[in-house]
Amino acid sequence: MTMDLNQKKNDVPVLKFQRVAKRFPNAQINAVNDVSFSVNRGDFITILGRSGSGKTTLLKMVNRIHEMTAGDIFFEGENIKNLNLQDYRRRVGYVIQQIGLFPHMTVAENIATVPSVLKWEKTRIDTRVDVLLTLVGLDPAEYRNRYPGKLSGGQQQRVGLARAMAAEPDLMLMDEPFGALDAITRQTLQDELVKIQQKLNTTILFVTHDIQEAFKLGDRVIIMDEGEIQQYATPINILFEPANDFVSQLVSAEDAVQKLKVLRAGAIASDLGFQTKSGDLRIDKDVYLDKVLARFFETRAEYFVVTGKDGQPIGQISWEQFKNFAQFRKDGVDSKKEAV
Amino acid sequence: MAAFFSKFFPYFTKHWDDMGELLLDHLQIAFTVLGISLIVSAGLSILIYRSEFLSTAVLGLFGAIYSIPSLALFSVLVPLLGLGKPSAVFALVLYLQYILIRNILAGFHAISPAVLEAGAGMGLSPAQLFLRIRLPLALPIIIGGMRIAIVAAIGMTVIAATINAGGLGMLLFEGLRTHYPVKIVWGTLLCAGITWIANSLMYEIEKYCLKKANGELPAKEVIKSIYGKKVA
Ligand SMILES: Nc1ncnc2c1ncn2[C@@H]1O[C@H](COP(=O)(O)OP(=O)(O)OP(=O)(O)O)[C@@H](O)[C@H]1O
Ligand SMILES: [Mg+2]
Repeated sequence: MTMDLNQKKNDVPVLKFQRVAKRFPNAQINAVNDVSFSVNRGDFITILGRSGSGKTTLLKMVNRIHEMTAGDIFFEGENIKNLNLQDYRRRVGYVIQQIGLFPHMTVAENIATVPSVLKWEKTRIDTRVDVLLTLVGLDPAEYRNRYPGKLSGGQQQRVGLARAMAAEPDLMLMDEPFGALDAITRQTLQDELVKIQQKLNTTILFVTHDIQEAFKLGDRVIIMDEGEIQQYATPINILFEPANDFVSQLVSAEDAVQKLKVLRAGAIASDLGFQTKSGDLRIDKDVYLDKVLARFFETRAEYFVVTGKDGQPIGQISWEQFKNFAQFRKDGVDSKKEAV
Repeated sequence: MAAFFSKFFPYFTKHWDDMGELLLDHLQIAFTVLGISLIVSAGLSILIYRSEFLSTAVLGLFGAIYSIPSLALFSVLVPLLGLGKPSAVFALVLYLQYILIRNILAGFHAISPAVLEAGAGMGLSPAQLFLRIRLPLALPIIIGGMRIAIVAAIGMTVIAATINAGGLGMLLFEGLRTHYPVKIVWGTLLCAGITWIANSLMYEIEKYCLKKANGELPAKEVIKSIYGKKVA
């Protein structure tokens, strides 16, 4: 029985937009127009677009901060209009751009917000707070009882992230969470978020206007313009098969080096085609290609065996192939492999 | 001058019980006024909070009332409610509305929209949002308004003695009428004394609430770990 339920839960998309539109009162045009897409469990989806393209509006319709004016949104198969608003929101983590920590509550109290309204036991909450603080890279003993006013911007952002994850949400909504941070802190947090997401297999919808960030973090990227989805595809697909002029203009601004920084080994690996030997050099599928390039130079290897989640070999990248790819000839890529 | 001092303390030893009665009467009027005013202003604030138009209109109206000299307002009310406490209380409640509503609205409007959106977005119910987030964050400014209101209430209760409402104003005005400086000075001193005490008390509460709202108090957990160990 439980098996069946889990099976069902995995089949149904976590989130599904069906011809969704939003027009603000007194506006001449729709801020979001006829948007349909779905998000599967464990997907890390980034939403990329210029200022005013409707990214935030799209995100806020998910947790009904904004009410859609047309269409339907389904959460785990259920129309969100039929769900109890508060119960539903407690299952959807929310990180807003301005962080919005409660200034009169300690870090621990902030993080415990949803667990406490869900009436978790105190010991369970305390343990959860410590686990989350450790997860986002803050020492619980030091930070648990601090107030938000005594944290740096980056630390506040970490607490905001921990707070949104507190009650193990099925879905996380993040609106430019790293927008206000310096480049280095931002990169650290991006790397940590990727790690956390892979560890917990959280489903994330992440808004950004930074193309690097969108491609680096997203398994798939939604490109928005003028309230409409221009393309919804994997980073590599967007780079090599832009759906329209808008997208190709957007991505052509990225030079080859930048592209290496946002694509991962798994995306360009080809079929293994041979038995791996103990001497083979291995590389994880999630390593970015600029690191792969560095390792080719370091090791002077002819090829790397690409490994998956459990360390199992799933493919290979040869130097020849990599060279072709780095010159960004489209035939260097096996486009069926990109979804790894 | 010497005559004044020779009468000043003997007046107290002779009349301390009457003076105490007037003082209590005074406090009773001031706090009745404050209690009623708080209820009325809280209710009105809830009604007008969401509408900018209503907020401006209601504040404008009470602002205008606030600018009427109290003596004039008392005189208008006497024909309607008669001499004595009811007129005085009614007039003072009207006066305090401006101070209280202004601060209640300011307190709630000063809360960062991001904080409220985060709270609502996480699934706090409207009641939870109010009790856990809005109220503690608005409280310092509201208490600030209450502090000013108490001081104003104590002061204006003095004037209310002109329509026979009782309180320390009786002593003061009697002194004026009978050219008896000792009464005037005692009335003034007592009045200033309770004003000072009320103001200082409220100021401490205000400071506490402000520290609480800004996250500057030691965390509960820290306090517990210090005192908890001592008790154990
Ligand atoms: N509350 C609102 N009332 C009216 N119009 C709004 C509101 N919020 C957004 N809009 C309009 O909707 C459009 C999309 O705005 P949105 O905030 O979704 O853009 P965005 O892509 O998130 O931009 P940014 O990158 O600047 O955050 C804009 O034209 C904006 O002016
Ligand atoms: Mg936005």
